[in-house]
Amino acid sequence: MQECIDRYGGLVWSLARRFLANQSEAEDAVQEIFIDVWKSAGRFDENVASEATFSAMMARRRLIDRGRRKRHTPDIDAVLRHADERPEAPLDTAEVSEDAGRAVEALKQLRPDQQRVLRLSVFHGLSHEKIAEATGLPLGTVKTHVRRGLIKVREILAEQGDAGEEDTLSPGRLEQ
Amino acid sequence: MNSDAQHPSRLSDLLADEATVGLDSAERAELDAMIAAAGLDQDREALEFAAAALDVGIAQSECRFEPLPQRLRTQLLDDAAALAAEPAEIAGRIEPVPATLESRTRPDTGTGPAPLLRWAGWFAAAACLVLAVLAWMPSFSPSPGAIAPELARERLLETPDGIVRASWTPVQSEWIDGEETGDVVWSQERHEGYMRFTGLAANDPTELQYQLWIFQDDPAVEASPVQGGVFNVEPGETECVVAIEPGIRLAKAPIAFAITCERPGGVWVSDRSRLPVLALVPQGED
Repeated sequence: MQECIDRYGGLVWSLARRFLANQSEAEDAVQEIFIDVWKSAGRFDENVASEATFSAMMARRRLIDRGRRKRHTPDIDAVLRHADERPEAPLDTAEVSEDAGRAVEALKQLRPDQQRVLRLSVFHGLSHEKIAEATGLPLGTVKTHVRRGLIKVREILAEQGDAGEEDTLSPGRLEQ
Repeated sequence: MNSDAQHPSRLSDLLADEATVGLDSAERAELDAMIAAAGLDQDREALEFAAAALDVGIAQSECRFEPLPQRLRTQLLDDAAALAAEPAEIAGRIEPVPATLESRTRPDTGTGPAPLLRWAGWFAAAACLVLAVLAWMPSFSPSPGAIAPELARERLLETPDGIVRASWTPVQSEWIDGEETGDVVWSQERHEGYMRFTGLAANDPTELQYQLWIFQDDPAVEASPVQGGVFNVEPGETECVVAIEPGIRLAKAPIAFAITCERPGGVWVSDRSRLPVLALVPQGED
């Protein structure tokens, strides 16, 4: 468990800080997330996702749920300022997750407006309505960009990570 | 009936919403039903994994990781120690490991660090204790009460207002013997309700029992429906009425009811893989 904390503590903490404005609430959430991760460890399947992605999924699930309960919405101006920032130099390029790298490559294959919408939704946690407000895109277009973008990412992860298994949730099936 | 084929866009919308903004109770119940009907259980978390991978990937590429505060790390180590010291207590709160997922987890070869894989076996063992706990689980089989449930249902329907009523919608046809036209009625004020089934297949109670789950209009408990009791359908029964007996008092009015097939005695947490029928309370009813 200590190894799990040391390996993914920064990842989970960073997610919590991004989703929750209040530090003490973020600390509570991180404790709940690690309990969730430990309790769900038996469900982990390395053929489906890396440990980092599995931990991040458990964290996102808990944080999204907390956000819905508290009706928390990120400060849109702060998010938009942050969204276009880039670090001047990489701090640490150590590999965290191979599938995460592939997901970013999939993101780059989308059109710029699709990339921006997906980034605001997934990384910054903005609601569809807030994204529509921030980008000027119709709400329906925002929802479509999010849906198709995630399916594209999933498709690429499935192609490269699990070749040979039947893709029962293929983008074609979902996008009929 | 195949909901996925009928509403493919709705299915993908719900999956994408679950992965990004979350779902309310009614949406979650709707998604569960569509996933069960379409047999897509293995891919239920596919878009959640995609969103998580993308989230981690962006954070990784932009170096947006903050170190875990030392004080919080110490607290987490304390939490871990407490968990490890009380496996029996944990087991009571662990969702049993699905056999399919467990078997798909490769053993740790020792060639690389994989903390979760190493813990998987420990938790799988702990989850086995759940079975022992379940043996002591109280039976929630409905008691007949002073009057027959058929009559009690009729009397409840005669009360002037405050009754919600929803029709069962078949989800998995193998559990339906004929046409299911039953319904569920519930009075939040009286905390009393009844389910009526006309086409639910008879069950062998030594193999499985039907179990009711109640979804409330409350975001705080949306992920954890209240179990409403286990019951049986006898062979040859054309219609049966079953009293609803929630394990706890419902804080909010129900918005959906679901019936799952579970092991005899019921379960604390259902994997919802066997979902015969679902009833959504029409909006606007109270």
